[in-house]
Amino acid sequence: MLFSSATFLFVFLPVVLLFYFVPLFRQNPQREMTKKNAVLCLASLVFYAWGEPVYIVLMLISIYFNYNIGLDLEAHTFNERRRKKIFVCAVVFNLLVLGFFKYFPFAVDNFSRLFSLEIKAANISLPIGISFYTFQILSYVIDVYRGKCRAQRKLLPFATYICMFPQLIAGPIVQYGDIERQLRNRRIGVRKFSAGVLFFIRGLGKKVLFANTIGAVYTEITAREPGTTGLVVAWFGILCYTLQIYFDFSGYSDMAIGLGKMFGFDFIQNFNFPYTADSIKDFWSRWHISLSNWFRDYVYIPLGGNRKGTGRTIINLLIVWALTGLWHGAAWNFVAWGVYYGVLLILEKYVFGGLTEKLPHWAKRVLTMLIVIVGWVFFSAESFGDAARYLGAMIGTGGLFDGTTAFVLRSNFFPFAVMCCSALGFFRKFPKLKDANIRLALQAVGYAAVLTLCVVSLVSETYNPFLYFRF
Amino acid sequence: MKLPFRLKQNTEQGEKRNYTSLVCLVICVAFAAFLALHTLLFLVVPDRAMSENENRTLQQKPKLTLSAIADGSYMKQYETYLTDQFPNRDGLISFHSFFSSLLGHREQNGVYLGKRGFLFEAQTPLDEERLQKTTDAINALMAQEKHAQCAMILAPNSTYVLKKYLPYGLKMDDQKAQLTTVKNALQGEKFSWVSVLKSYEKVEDPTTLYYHTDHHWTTRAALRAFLSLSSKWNLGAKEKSFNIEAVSKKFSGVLAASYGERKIKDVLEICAPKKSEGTYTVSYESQSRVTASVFDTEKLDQRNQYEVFLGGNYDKVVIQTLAETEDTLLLFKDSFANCLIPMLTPYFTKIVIIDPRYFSDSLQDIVDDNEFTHILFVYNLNTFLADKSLAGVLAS
Repeated sequence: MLFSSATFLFVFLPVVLLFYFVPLFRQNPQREMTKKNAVLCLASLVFYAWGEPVYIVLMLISIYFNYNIGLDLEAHTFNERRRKKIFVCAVVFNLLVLGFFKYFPFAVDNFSRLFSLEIKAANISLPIGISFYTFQILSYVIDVYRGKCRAQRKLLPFATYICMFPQLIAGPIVQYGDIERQLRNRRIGVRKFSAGVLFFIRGLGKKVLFANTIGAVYTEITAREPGTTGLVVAWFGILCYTLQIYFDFSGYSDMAIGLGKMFGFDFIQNFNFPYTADSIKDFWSRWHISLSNWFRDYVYIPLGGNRKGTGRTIINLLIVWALTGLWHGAAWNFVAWGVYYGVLLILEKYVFGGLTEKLPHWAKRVLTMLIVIVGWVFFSAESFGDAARYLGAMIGTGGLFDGTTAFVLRSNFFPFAVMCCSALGFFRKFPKLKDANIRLALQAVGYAAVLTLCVVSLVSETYNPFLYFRF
Repeated sequence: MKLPFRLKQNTEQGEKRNYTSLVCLVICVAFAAFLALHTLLFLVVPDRAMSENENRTLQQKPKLTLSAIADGSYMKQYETYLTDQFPNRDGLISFHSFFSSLLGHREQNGVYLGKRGFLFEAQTPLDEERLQKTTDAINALMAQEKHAQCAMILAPNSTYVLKKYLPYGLKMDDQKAQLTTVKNALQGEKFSWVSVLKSYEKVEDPTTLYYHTDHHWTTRAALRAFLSLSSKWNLGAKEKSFNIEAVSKKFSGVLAASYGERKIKDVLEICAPKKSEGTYTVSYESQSRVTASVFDTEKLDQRNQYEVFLGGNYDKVVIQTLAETEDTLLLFKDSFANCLIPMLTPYFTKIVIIDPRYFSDSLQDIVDDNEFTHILFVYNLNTFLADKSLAGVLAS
């Protein structure tokens, strides 16, 4: 179930909100909180089972297993060897589950190619959100092992943390330490709920009105016969993809943060206008922040970070970025995309960092965006061959213009321009009106319009005329 | 080097007091009301069985069974059910189509919205290999049936004839050049090429030649082409010997169905020779059905009114007439021919109509049994260039 679906908006969410907010234990805030967590946990399991009725078992096993790991780790506080054993066992188990479901077919495919064998992995469908919730579980296990936080003694709050539906399928990756207190006690109220509603509507708008619309342009352009795409259209296409992936992902994060707020949680901000970055490093401090944080805290720093000399730092960076790439998907083009950023970050740090410092600010931003956009070519392509062909079109192998250039630009220019302005943060301080009442009224109209248009678009996306009389 | 970089936690999330408590309350209530209103409407508005606009049955409320939940089919059907039965679904869809055209969008589901409300479908690119196969097969048939008069009516598409109404910036291939390519590829002793473009020249207003909402040519355009054929074959047909009658003023064709229903509708006209009633029979052989009219007026009550011509497309239709002539005609066609066929009835005693896309019998038997005096091909360029069935049928 996507947040941007009629089922979620008009069936699931109203029912959950109703059960969550109708108080059962007025006199006993602690029991009321337990009830709220129970509603949330149960709702999350239904939410998960809706898309993956079978994999719910896997998730329940995972929750129960890691809950016990936490307790075990704490039970043997003074037996370091035992703790280490438990810890290694837990990490291996979790990574094996992730590895099996996400990377097994990829690994078998490469193995068979390496030795020219004809074996094929059985077709395993990927459990939704497994990359996200495995990382949350790992953060819990590692934090408890390190003694950074206490193990959760109650199963319910732990299960709620792992399977909480707002961030279950697309992040942000919430670290256990950030949310532990909120699981016990959190402020729930009109102020937070209203902030959540606005977050949610913004996210919904980004996903439905922006990402879906502009994504269709890119899909149309990549579906063309190779060699028929002119340079201008190719660039326009990848710019559309650049916008699509940002609005899609950050829209989903905003919806997650908004829903979290409605239920009283504060998740960390996941995007901070990444396309205004003026260096690669800056870009990654603004893009998918919760993932960057995770890799920094649980991979880069444990590997030794930058404290073991230049050579080791470079190796550490490459490892982290290859893994970051692989996390995004089990295919070599994702690995290439990750390593591409790793290498560029190393170069930026050790080679041309000093040079780019002297450039004017706008030049740094343009340069950064060029690097990011070229990166998306690898990220979006199905294979290296496709990526190479698309890059070819971007340097003009299909000519400067093709027959559709004017049409494509004209049809999409206005939405494209609005989205660019939005991605670059031009609307951040908008509207700068002195009169607070007028501003308020404008905002109210704006949010209402976005919500309505989202519903209109959601329904229209399913328009599906049956044209048997086509001929 | 520090890797990414702990961001200040919750930068936007601290309890920023942007709004007064009252405003916050209003936001909460409005949002809850919005959700509740839709949920209520779902419960109140009755489900529909069928969508006229989309020409399909709509998803009904799925049955809740354990097996349907286990394999996920219940959830899929439920999601489709909600969107299919969404209150005011058709209204929302046409609003969306209007709104996106306001933003400058001119394409939905592969259909383009041009100027003056004209809808266009994309052209088929010319594939030389495929075309050669088709023209070789036609040439072979003409060589085999030496005594028969042959002709081809190949209609250009609205994208070419009405190209000044294409949406701004959209360029299409030159169909005039493509038509010449086809013409030059066809050779036969008694072959005549009917230049549809030339027959259009006398028409003052080219917008009367194609529909706004459908990809077909209009009956008037077909009449032009037919008169041109008539002079090639010396049939002696005159414009005034035909009646043109409007049968629907609310014709909304296939392109409108794909693009999203639009306000603009077309006039659907039929053209028949005067005094033709009861002078022929039409047999739909695969359907074992015989009628006394080439028009199926019952189809005017359904979604696709273009099927008023011959009731749609069938593999083989035979028309027997009382015309005072010995001439017989073998016609290969796509749906563009459907509105032209009535005009042929006074000039042939028997017309065998083959639609190769649906035809799977042996052609040779039909040719051997009938000794046709005339062979005609009626196609539009898009279908003709995409066609893969004609060559196969001609060789059968």
